[in-house]
Amino acid sequence: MRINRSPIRFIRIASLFLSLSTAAMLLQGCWDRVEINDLAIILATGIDVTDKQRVHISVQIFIPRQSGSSSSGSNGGSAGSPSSVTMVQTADGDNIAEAMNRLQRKLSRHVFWGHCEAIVIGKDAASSGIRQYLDFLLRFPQIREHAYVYVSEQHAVETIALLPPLERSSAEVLREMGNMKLGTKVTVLNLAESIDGLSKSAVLSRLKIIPSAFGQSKYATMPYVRGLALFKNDRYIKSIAEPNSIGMLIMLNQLENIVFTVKPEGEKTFIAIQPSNITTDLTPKVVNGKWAMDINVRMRGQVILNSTNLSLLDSKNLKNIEAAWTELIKGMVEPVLHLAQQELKTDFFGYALTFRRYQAKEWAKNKENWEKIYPNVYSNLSIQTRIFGTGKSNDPQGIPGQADKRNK
Amino acid sequence: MNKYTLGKKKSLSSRSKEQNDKLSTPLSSDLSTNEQMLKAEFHNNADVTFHPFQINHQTDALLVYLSTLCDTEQLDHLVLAPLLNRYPDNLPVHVSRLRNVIPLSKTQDILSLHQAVTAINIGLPLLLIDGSDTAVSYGLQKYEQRSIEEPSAESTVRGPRDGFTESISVNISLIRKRLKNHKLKLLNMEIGTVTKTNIGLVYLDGIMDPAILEEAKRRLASIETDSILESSYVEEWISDEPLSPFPQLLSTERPDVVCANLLEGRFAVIVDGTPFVLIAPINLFSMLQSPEDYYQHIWMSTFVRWLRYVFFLLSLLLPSFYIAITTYHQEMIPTVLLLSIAKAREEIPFPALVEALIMEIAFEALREAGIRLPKQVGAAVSIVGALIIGQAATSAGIVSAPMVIVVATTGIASFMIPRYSAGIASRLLRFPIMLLAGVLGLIGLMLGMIVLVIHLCALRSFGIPYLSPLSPSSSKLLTDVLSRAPAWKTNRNKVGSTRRR
Repeated sequence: MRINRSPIRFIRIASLFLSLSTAAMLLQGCWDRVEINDLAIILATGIDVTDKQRVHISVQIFIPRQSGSSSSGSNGGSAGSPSSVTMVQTADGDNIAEAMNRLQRKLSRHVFWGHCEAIVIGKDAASSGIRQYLDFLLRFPQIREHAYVYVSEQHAVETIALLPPLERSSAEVLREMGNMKLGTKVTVLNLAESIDGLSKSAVLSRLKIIPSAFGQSKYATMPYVRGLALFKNDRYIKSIAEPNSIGMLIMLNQLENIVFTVKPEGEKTFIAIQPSNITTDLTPKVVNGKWAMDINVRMRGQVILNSTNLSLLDSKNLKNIEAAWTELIKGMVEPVLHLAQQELKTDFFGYALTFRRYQAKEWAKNKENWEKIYPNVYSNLSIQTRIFGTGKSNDPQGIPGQADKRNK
Repeated sequence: MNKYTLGKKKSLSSRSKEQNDKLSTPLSSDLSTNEQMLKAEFHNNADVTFHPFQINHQTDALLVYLSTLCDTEQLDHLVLAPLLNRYPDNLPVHVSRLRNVIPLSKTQDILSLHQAVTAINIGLPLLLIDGSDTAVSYGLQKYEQRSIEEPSAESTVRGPRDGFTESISVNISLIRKRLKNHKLKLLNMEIGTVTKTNIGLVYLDGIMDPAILEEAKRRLASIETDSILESSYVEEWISDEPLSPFPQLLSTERPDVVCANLLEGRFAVIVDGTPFVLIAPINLFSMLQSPEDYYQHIWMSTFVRWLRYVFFLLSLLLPSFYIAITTYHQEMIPTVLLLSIAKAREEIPFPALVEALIMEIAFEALREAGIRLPKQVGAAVSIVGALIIGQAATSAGIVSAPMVIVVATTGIASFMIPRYSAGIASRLLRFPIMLLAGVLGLIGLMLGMIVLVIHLCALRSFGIPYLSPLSPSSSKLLTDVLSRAPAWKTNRNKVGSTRRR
């Protein structure tokens, strides 16, 4: 409890602090500081290959100048756009690291990858293998491993260069679309894991570009997800569109934001059902050396359109509709199973992983032969559908004379 | 001020040593000798009145008093009048008989010249009678004092409205009024060779840890100074670590706060001449608690406490954190926010560190200017400040809007600390941590925090760890830190139980 009032100690501490801080202040050149003003913030990256098999990267860079009121805006290589808050810069190289370095040489600011939220791989680049890109994306410290990865039908640079009228940038469009789960939601990390993994395959969303509105610049439009791109090993092999892509998403347990149009038996018109949850379970079985996979798809949904005359209050009618719905799903999933197992012989759905997890002994014995076993795994599909809601109305609406009949 | 007191101290103390022997001389039985001695002591004192008169037309008597500190009306009425009119003719005049004549209970026999001078100094009238070597002083001093008002620095919505005044006796009465118990002890002492300031050490016997009390007494007794003009003088003398920016004694203007702390086993030091009473031993968390916490609803108090903890950290760290992440760790900022900051910062000529320093220093300057100025002008200062800092600097592109938000939030955060003296720590420490964050980023911020935590862990207030009851932790007492414990769970006598050797 002694009172320490030694001035020497205080002076020593104070002078130590002062000298250290003055030294630090004077050595400003040694600071690692990078002001935001000196950053070229990259929002999206596109990867293409040129004709000579060189890597061509294109980046979308945020222009921090206050735009807004000025209609002409700034023209960083994106003149005549509705909201020119981004610009595109490209660079070539023998490999992606070299291309990145060349890109830095073309820019007056530090290239900053920390906010690159979308990576678009051109179809050509994807078909020649994405291993080197993946390695770079996962090794280079600045890049987020949670960036979404897409495959574009056109060259990636065309998607990157778009200046969507709705969002701030096409990068934001891609990020929001990833969050909305319009296709598969695959980040760099997921992609690497699924290619490295037992299945040696990946399914990415495929991007197309909406044609721009009449009279608008050809860049004033947005990319959108249309169909899926299938990868075997690290190479793009095929793209699929609806209805196969929907079947694929059901199998991947990633389907959301969908409306099924069901035609019940004996009816000429249709009923539209919006599912609220769709789950797919895989249960592997090995019986007497025969490998089988129980696929259990469960869907619950509510009717949002009823153009038939069926009353939805009648449970018999509902059963009928559910049966037709089940048939519809079956018709979507079965071709995809066939495509994956027999045609492409690629395990997109993670069969290998499920077998390893739940049939570990069998897997350990046979993992060398998996390539041969996979096409012959018996996929036992069972589908349960249930309508839990009929929307705001019960009876069919808009039938002439309906109200009159009801009043009797 | 310092220089001045130092100079004064030397001259006065040397003088007092020379005269010490002379002052300790006993009073003589001869009135004229006594009068001469007193006149010699009080020469050049215009307000010292010597009033000679005769009792029963035979015995000489002398009243000496300071006309500026003495209640002359009462003196005339209660002392002079009985002596002149009602003194029994047949009895010889003697000091011991005065008691039966003068209707005053607060009297004191004065035997030496020193006592006499002291009594006159504090405003007591002194009655000297010829033929007696004992004088009598009467408790008739009258100080000008302001009435009890609501404390301006610590206002509450709900709670008592009375605050301490500059008079120690009024202050003690305010405490006694609340703690009607003979266990409430008061030790009086006089500190300051020149000012002779009356200082009271108040504690609750039985609750107060005797070891802490002894230490407090020891420290108060060891003060060697010529003047105590405010309780902060005492605080500097008796703090464990006076150089620490964290105060180790709480100062308050509110008697209810003092009583609450006495009940928790702390002691209070009341200094005459200031409404600020010191309380010790305290910990960091008592700095972040307001008396009102105990007067309003439990949930509200708990919420406000957490709000204070969060904003205390914000007031300390927010500018540093902003500097660190915008200049070193841009990937930590959410993308959309980064783009907004990038837009706002595009035109700014300074690095973020310089920008923050400019704004923080400007804010501190404005705050200081606002406090020292008269109230009417203070408003003008805040308008100019708001216009300059908030409006002109941003629109001229010298300071970015996010930085203004950061500085404003920091300012509000620092106002949220209920104790002014605790706010000082966060205001001062903000700057070194900002420099560290500017030089080393988040690592610098972390280093600053580590140094700060080491300091806080080492800090003691009268031997009680400053971070208790968090470290060393006591889960029982911690409930009143993490929440506001309800009245039936409030753990009194908390100081002693966390005490360490």
